[in-house]
Amino acid sequence: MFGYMGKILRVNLTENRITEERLEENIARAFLGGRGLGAKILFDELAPGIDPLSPENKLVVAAGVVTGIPFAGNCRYVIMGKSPLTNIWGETNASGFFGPELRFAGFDAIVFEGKAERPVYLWVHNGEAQLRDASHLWGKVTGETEELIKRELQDDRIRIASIGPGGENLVRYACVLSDFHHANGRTGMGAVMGAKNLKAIAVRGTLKIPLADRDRIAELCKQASKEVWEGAYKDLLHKYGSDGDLDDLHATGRLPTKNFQKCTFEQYENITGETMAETILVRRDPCFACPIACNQVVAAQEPYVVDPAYGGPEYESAAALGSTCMNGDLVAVAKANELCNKYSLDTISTGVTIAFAMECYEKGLLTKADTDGIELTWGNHQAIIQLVEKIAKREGIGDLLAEGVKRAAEKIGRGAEAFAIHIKGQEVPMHEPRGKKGVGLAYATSNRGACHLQAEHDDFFEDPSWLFPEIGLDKTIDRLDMGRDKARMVKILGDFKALYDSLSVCMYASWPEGGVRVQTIKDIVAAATGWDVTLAELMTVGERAFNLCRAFNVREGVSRKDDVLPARLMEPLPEGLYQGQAIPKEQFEQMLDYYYEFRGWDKETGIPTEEKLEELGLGYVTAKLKTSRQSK
Amino acid sequence: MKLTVGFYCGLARRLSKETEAEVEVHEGATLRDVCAALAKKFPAFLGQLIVPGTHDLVEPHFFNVNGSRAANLDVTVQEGDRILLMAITAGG
Repeated sequence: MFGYMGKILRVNLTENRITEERLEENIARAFLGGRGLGAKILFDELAPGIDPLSPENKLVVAAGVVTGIPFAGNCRYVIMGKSPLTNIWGETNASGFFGPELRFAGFDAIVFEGKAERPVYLWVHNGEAQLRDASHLWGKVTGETEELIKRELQDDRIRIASIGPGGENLVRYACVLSDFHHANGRTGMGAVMGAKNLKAIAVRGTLKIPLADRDRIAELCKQASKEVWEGAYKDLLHKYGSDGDLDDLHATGRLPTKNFQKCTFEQYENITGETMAETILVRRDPCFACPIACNQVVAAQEPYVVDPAYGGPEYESAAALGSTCMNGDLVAVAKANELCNKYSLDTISTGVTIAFAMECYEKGLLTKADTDGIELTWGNHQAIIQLVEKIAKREGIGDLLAEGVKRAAEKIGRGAEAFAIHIKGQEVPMHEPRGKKGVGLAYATSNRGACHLQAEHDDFFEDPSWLFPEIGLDKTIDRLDMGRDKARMVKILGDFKALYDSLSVCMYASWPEGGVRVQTIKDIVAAATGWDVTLAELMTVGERAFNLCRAFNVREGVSRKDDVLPARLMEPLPEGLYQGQAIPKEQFEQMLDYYYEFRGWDKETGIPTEEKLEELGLGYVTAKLKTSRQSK
Repeated sequence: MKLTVGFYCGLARRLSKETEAEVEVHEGATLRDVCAALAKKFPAFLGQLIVPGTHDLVEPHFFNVNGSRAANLDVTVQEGDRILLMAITAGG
């Protein structure tokens, strides 16, 4: 089989046993890799109802079919398992260099199962793999872990994905870091690693990806390079990273501020990408084969020492640790970001959880007696830094906040739930759905809980030049529209993003945000594999992956009742350009009806119908869902 | 006639240090004329936000007039129109 290394590594941590499995071509073509392949493995192998932090959970690390082929945006990989934050489908992506190196080391994916007796790390090198003792690494931060492993294995070119104390201490939103600053951020996969006593995965390889038509690939990579230079956001991303958007979001009143109570931030100028570039930026780092180089690397001495090794804040981190907590100190934002990367904490969930705690403090639900004496007032950046440390170590108030806002609010009670801004248990990211309402529908129906990456945002599709009729995006729709066409748009974009995550390509390099055309990516898949693929076939792979993740969640009890938004995000916006804009419940429910109709899901339950699953080649899933419901 | 243009994108605010600006254009003016007037008032717009010579808007900026995205810069405007200068914000 071309396009793949053709092997999946299975690592049983309980039995200290490593085996290899062949990646069958029919599975590869139906799921491609990344999210799709992980969904197939986890749906088939995990029993419903298991504790995500138990040995029964499995962790899949998967690259995509284009990962490691040298064109911009080809570098991503996905870590998946049942999430300890949401108790449903967990999935988290990262860029950088780990994904390509995993393939050069000989494997398309790794499946971890069980739990090691003591801390270990996996070393994968040119088709060989071994588990090595990590007792001496336990307790170390991510950067130090990477340095020690590289020294131990005597190779500086090894790529390492590891956890710090956040993952070891089972913070429910602990992430996984590679190269110090590429984060597989969301859904707590770092805690799953911690629960398995798996400290790190180290990969290094010089194997070649078998390609069906190497000459054609070379031509297409040149074509992709040309296209990436024509991308509308290339310069913005290079100069300011994704934080270049922060001022636009403030200007349009869509910048989450004060735990989503506000949507503009008076001190926004302090934390923009532009200010970062003019003050603390030291360089911009690229990912594998990408000329954009959007990773902003920062350093500072006052009021905090910020280590450039850990990169710098992108937009989500700047807003979550900045405006959402009313923190207008850029160096403090950068320090909190650095600590999250060191300790392996998701910056979005960390920021939103701290903002939640600040609102509880403001409203008297938490006092100094609860916060270990910390004055948890809005914008108090010393408090933010202290809380990041405490969360990672589960010290004092940190133990409560390490549970995420949903569980913390349930423990605090007395109405704290109203300030817990989450969907399906995951903290809401930094996008205001009342000013781009398709984002609201995508948030509510995302398979991994609140997520801003499930559908490209509404702004693009007001402009005819961004339409893409080949995948059904054939009419412009206003960002505030909540009608049938908007529901259709979100469905199509959901399948499209599931495709991207299965391929696994980067949204910043590829259409619509980046310049690489979807047609070019399709041609690269065809030239890599030798398959005569069409865009329609690829979109079906995305839809298949999306539905399989939904089926995973249905088996865990998810239904229409869970496809909701927090009450705060449905109320009229209090200020800004879209002041008064709300997401009225009736209109939202109507939009959800339309969405289910386009998805081929039952309108009452939100469960994929037998016909839809059959159409996607997932007929066997229906039987498994029925068995699961009967056993409840 | 006098028109007020609201700056609802970060770049226009940063370059002008204003959140809106009043410009004077002739009766029957188009949005391209508005761009020319803005460029005259804020020379820093030229290059980064407005293309010198053609007075096109640099991608991904656009105008919203009276609540709807303007299809192009040939759209005519009149006194009292609500004109917003915006950018497609990617997110992520």
